[in-house]
Amino acid sequence: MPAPRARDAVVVAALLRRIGVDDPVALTNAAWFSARRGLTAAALTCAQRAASLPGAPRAAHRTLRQLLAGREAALLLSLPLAMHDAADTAERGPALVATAVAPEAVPLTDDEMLALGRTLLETGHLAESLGMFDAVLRHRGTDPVALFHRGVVLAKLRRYDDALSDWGAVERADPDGMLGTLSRRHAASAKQLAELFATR
Amino acid sequence: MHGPLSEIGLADVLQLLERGKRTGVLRVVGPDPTTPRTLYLQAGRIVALDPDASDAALAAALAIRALASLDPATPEDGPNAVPHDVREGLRRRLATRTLAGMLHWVRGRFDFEAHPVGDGPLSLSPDGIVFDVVDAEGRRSELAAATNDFHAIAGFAPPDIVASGPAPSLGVLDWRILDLVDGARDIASLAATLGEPAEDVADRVRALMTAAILVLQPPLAEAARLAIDAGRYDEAIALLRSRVATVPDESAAWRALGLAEVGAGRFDRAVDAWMAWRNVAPANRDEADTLIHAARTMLEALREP
Repeated sequence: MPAPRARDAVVVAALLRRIGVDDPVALTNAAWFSARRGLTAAALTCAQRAASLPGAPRAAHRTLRQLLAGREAALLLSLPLAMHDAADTAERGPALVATAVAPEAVPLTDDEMLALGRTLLETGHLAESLGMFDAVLRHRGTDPVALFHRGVVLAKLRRYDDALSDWGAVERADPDGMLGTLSRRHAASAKQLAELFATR
Repeated sequence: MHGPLSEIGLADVLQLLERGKRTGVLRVVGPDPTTPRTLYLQAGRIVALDPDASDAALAAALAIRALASLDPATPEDGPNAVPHDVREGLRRRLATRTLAGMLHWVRGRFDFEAHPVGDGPLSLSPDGIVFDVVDAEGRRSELAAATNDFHAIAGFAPPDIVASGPAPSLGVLDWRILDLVDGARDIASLAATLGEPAEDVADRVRALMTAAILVLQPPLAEAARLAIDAGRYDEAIALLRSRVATVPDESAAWRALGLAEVGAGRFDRAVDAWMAWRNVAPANRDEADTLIHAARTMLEALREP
C-alpha cells in the first residue's frame, strides 16, 4: 500500500463526509478506497461502521477482517445491496457487528484496539471509542496512551470527574512527558468546565 | 464453411449462421495469428467464446475489478461467490466487446465446422451484437465530443464541494475511477488502465462531475500550450512533468516539456526532455536532434566565461 499523502487524506475525508454513515456498501467501498491510499485508520473506521450496520453485506465483514489482519491488498469492492444474493448479507455478521461494543469478540491486539479507539474518537463515535479504551485498560491498566485518550472521550461525554481521574493517572505516571503535560493542560480545562456545569 | 475475412466479413458469416440456425464451432484467426478465437454456436446463437469469455477470463476480469479474489486459499471470495447475474453479465460484456472488435477484422480467416454443441454460458444473437455495436459507436461519438476525444483530464473537485451535497450513489466502476483519478490522467488513460470502454468511463466521469465529486479539465496538452503561450512556463512544466510521470511514452508531452524548459531558461533540462522525446519517438529523431543541438548551443553561450 502506498504511503498516504496529505492531498489523499483531504480527498478521503471529504468523500467520507459526503457518503455519510448509514450506507454499509458505500462505507465498505470507502474502506477499500482509503486503504488503497494508505489511509488504514480511515479504512478501519469505515469498515467498522459498515459491519455494524443492519443488513451489511458479507463484503463489509470481510473487509473488516482483512484490515484487522493487515491484509489491505486483499480488500474487495462491494456490489450494491440490490445485486447481492439473498444469502450474501447477514451471514457471519453478528460476531463482527459486535466489535465496537465487545472488542473481545474478535481477536484484536491491544495496539489494534488503541488505534481503533483513536479513530473512533476522531470520527465522533464516542461510545464505541470508550469501549475500545476500556478494553485496552482491562489488559493494561496503566497504559498512559489509553488513559489519556479515554480521558478525552470522557471529557467529550461531559464526565469531567472521570476524565480528571484518567488524566491525573497519566500525569502521575509521566509528569514531564508529552502526555503528562497535555493531561495537566486538559485537566485544568476540564476543571473549569466541570465548575461551569456545576454552577449553571 | 471457411474463407478469408478479406472477402466475407465476420458480421456476414455470423448472420448467415444465425439465419441458418447452424450449430457448430467457428474458429477465427484475425490480424494477430497468435490469438485465435473460438465461437461455439447453437442454433445460430453464440453460446461460448474462447478465450475472451471463458471461465478463466471471467475470473481474471472479476479480480481486476476487485470483485473476487484469485487466491486459492480463500475460495469463499472467489469468482463463484459473485452473484450469478453480475458474473454472467460481465461475461456477456467481455464477449460483446471482443466480438465488436472482431467485426472490424478484414485480415485473417474463419473456419466453421458443424457438430453438436451443448449449452454454454452465453446466448448472444449475432444480429443483436451488430445493433449493439452500432449503438455503442453512436454513444462513443457523443461522449468523445463532450470530453475532448476522451483526453479531458479528471480531477477531484475542491474538498469542501466534494463534502457537500446529498450522498451519491456510487457503483463499483465509480470507486475504481475515483481510485485512479490523480488530476493528471485523461479519460482515455483511465479507461485503458481500468480495462473498460472509454465511453463507459466517460459516462461515469460525467456523472461524478454532476455529483460535484470530480471536475474535468481541458486536455493537458492544451492546458500546457495555453500556459506556454501566456509565458507561465513553470505551470506548463508542472503539468507536463506530471503527465510524463504518468504516461512516459507520450512523445508530445516530452516535446512540449522541452519547449517550456527553454522558455524558463533551463536549457539543460530542455535537452533532457528532448532526449527523452527522441527515445520514445524515434521517427522524430531529426527534429529532436536539431532542437537538442540548439539548446546545447544556448547552454554554452550562456555559460559563464
